[in-house]
Amino acid sequence: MSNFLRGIYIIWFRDLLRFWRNKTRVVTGFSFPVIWLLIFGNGISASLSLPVPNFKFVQFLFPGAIAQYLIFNAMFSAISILQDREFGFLKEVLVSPINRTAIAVGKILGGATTATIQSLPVFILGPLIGVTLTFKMIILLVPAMFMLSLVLSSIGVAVTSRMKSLDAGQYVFQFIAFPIVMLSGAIFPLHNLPIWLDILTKINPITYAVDILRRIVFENLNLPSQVIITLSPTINGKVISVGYELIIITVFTAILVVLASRAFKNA
Amino acid sequence: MNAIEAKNLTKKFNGFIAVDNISFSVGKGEFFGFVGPNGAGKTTTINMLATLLTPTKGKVIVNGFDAVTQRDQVRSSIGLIFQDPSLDVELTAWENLWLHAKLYGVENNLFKKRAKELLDLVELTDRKESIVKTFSGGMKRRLEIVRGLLHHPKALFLDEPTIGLDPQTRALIWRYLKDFRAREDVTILLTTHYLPETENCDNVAIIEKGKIIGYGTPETLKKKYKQDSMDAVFIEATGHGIRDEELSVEAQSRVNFKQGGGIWRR
Repeated sequence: MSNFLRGIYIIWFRDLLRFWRNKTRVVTGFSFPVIWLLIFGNGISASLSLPVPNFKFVQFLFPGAIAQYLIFNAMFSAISILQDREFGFLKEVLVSPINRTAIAVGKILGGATTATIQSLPVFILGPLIGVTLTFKMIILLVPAMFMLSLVLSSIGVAVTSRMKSLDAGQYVFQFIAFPIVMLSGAIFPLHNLPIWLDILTKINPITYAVDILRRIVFENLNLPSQVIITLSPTINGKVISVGYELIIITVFTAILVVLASRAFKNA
Repeated sequence: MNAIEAKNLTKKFNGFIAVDNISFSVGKGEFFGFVGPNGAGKTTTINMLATLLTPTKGKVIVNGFDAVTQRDQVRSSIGLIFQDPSLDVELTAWENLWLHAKLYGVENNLFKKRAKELLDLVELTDRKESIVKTFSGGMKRRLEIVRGLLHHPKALFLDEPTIGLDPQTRALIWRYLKDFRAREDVTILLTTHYLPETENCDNVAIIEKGKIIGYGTPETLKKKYKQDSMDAVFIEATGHGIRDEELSVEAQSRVNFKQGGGIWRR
């Protein structure tokens, strides 16, 4: 194995090992999206209703709930870099002959993998609270969730690799994560928004990753295409295709990987 | 060829000169001690040798490689033990060693054999499956020494390896280091301010305000300063004043406050 791949593998593997060790994280991680769907989903659907027959509000919330959960989880997983800085392990990594880009990529993959694993129980628990799921949906959703986690994890790593203290890190993260969630379509549909809000949601790359999740859930439900169109981001009234969304996400992630590796080079 | 060669080494931080134009060399297999008061520039020097800091001026050659232009070669050829612990405390001792072996590309069978041997030497074999969080300070230090030696480095750097440990553990650490050096031909460079410990070194450099002000074997230094212990040599060479790592404004006000009879709460 080359130095580069070995570096990625070992950094990634350590994250998984630590995740597995930390049983509290495993359990709370698993339960959060379910609690969210159960309370928020049922609460809101009691006061709102969509003009589509036989369509439950939890169904609408489902992709958003997964997205919101991944946003927090994948991004916050990068906080571990600050813990490593504080408790010294980062030095052990930085003084080793491992390629700096490999450290960044390993960290990003580690965060994305653990976040995705933690969100898997929604496929068991979702149907219990009335979400319709098909096998095809799950097969498509898992890689889409991993991709969303990947973008978020790279935002996290690009930010934390530049910060020196754990305390400051937590505040900065709240500050970044909150607008990213609010403006991604994970919480409310991006439809009929005032122009300034519309622009902000469209420059948020997470919007496109969240949209892919939603399309997978909705397009496999035989919903009127009207519903999908009203919910997806548009440019000049035309819905952006999944292909373009993938390109936007890939380019954005690549830029972040470069930024993160550069921070480690100077560390 | 020498194991470590430093020429006109200088490091400035925002105008503050931490290391001021020092030159020294350490022979292969030598046991070299860097001593000096707090804030004298010991850690800065060791960090430059270990490629963690880029010198403002000067040149460092470690095991034949340039510490600025051939970082990866230098990194593969040294073991480093930091002043502060750098273990992953959530993982077991064995897992920590395994991660290290992977980071340095040590082949798996070789790793197992080496790790077992070294753990045996520092008497940690029966704790290898324990989570490091449960270790005492001395055990963590011993594990770090094992880790630092795992990839067969040609030189081992230790920054204050015995700081904060009780005398028994300190003596133990020194015994291990001497054993290791006798077993395999490894160059050891360490910093310390426990002076009696430097009696074990082949050569000692006394560093003060970023400059080397004394160099030689413990014997020649004692003769030069006409003292009978390294402690006395040190005080003779660096003066009697108390050195603090530069006091921050907050720390100074705390001292003033305490002297005024108040109770500082924090």
